[in-house]
Amino acid sequence: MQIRLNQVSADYQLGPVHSPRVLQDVSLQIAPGTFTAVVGPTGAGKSSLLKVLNGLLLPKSGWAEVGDIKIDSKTSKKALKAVRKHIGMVFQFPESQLFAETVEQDISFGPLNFGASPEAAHDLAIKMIRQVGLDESILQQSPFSLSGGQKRRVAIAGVLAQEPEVIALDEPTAGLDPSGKAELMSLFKQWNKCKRLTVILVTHDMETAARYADDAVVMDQGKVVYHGSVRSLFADSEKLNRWQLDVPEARRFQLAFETYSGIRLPNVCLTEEELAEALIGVGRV
Amino acid sequence: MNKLILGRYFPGDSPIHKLDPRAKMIAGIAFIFISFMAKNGQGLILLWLFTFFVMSLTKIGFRVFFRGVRPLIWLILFTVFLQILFTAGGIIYFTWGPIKISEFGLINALFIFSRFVTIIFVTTAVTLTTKPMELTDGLNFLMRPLRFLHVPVDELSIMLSISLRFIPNLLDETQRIMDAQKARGAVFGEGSLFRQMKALVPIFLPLFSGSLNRGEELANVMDVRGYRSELPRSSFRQLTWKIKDTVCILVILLLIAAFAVLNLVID
Ligand SMILES: Nc1ncnc2c1ncn2[C@@H]1O[C@H](COP(=O)(O)OP(=O)(O)OP(=O)(O)O)[C@@H](O)[C@H]1O
Ligand SMILES: [Mg+2]
Repeated sequence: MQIRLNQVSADYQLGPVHSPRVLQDVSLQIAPGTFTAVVGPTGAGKSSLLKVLNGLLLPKSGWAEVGDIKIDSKTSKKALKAVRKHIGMVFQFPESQLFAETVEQDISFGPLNFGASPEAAHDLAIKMIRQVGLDESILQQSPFSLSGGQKRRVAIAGVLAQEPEVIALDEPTAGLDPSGKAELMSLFKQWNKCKRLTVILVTHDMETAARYADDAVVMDQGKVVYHGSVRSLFADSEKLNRWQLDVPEARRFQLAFETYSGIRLPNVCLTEEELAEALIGVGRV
Repeated sequence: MNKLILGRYFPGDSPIHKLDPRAKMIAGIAFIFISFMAKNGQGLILLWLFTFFVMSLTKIGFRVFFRGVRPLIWLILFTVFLQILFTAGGIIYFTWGPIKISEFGLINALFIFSRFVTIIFVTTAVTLTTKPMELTDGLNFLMRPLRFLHVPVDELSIMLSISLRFIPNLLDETQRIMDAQKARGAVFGEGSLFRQMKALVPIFLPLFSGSLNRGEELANVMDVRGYRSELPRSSFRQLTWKIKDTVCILVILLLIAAFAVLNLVID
């Protein structure tokens, strides 16, 4: 599903007062099936960008396009609902949206709203709870009795159960343990690979961005300042410095290695695996 | 939610803003009683003049005050019409069954309307110019005599200030949860009343559970930091009574005297 933003500006209305522009003339195109990381300092407008895609924050000027539905300041509620069916959105700390008596009801909430039959919703709940690495028996428990990490997974399962074509994730792994983090991220990656699901991931963690994403969008003060491949972003130390982005550890090792040894590795290494391979390659020569 | 004017603070540096909250609250409460002293045309004019005087002193647009009246307008109109329709006396202009429109009815209605609206305007002037925290400090002071009746005044006022402190958080949280449920296809404010009520469950349950958790956390934090309810408390914000506060009280006393004189002279 093609996503396009054309000169979108947006702000939040607080009674009669408007907040300063949180998005300024943002133009962006995200191709179907890509995995895009959105990075940038806090307050840059990353979460707001996701809200625009989902029709929760309507553009004051310009428009967004999701598939063939256009979102601007006058889009109808019905069209917005259609957009939301296609874009699954996992908010920061999604566990705060759990409300139903049982986990199963909570996961079925989205599918039922979007017109799935109760049987289909039931099957989806079973399928999704397994996908996020939880046991089926949890379906009959109250969501409020679960641990933080379990709640997070249930909330994510609820969004995936909508069977969206695009998922927008706002720091989905913040506060999870390292293995839970890796597990969830590989789940998203696998969906991206096998189902050609478009993934848009907001993250502060450059390791995650480097390991899982293909493309990167850098935001700063409400503007998109970079959109290109992750690899060329991390190749350019000067840009990273300017936007105060961390350098992934493997890449940092590579830079230090190249300075001390005077040997240049053939490509930009973003993960330990790539680095190991490159080093072995150099050693053989 | 954004329309509610009661309990809002409008920042500013007008003379009214600078008054001590205790003076403002005493004056506001006194005004409620004073408004009942207006018994004749001159008194009515004085009441309105004083009200507009206070309103213009706050340097807040009159539109804001009118918005404050709006939620109560139906109640006011209802009482006013009741007065007009069912009070007899004086010249009768119109009769239809039990309904009489009479001179006394119209005059009574005018007085009731004026009392309602001036009271709302003046109390709104107090709340618009006083920070919520100042209001609770003032309230704490005014409730002090109740201590002798073993009313836990300090606990009540800390409860009040904590509640006030968390209102903005609660509004933010409501917005966040609404967004999250909308993203999952929930629709608000559509369909039958029953459906609309049902649509609120996915907002209120997480909101309640979140607030309960936060309350518990806060209680623990207060415990850890040594909060004890039975000990006397000092306050970080000290209220200081200044000359202008005495002037404010004097003005109110003067107003009471003026009404008393008016009532005596006219009768
Ligand atoms: N509900 C809101 N009402 C008013 N202003 C808001 C609201 N949400 C965000 N903002 C403002 O919009 C700007 C961008 O916020 P946004 O949440 O999009 O940033 P972000 O890039 O997601 O930051 P973070 O990394 O901290 O999550 C900020 O200046 C913020 O103050
Ligand atoms: Mg954010």
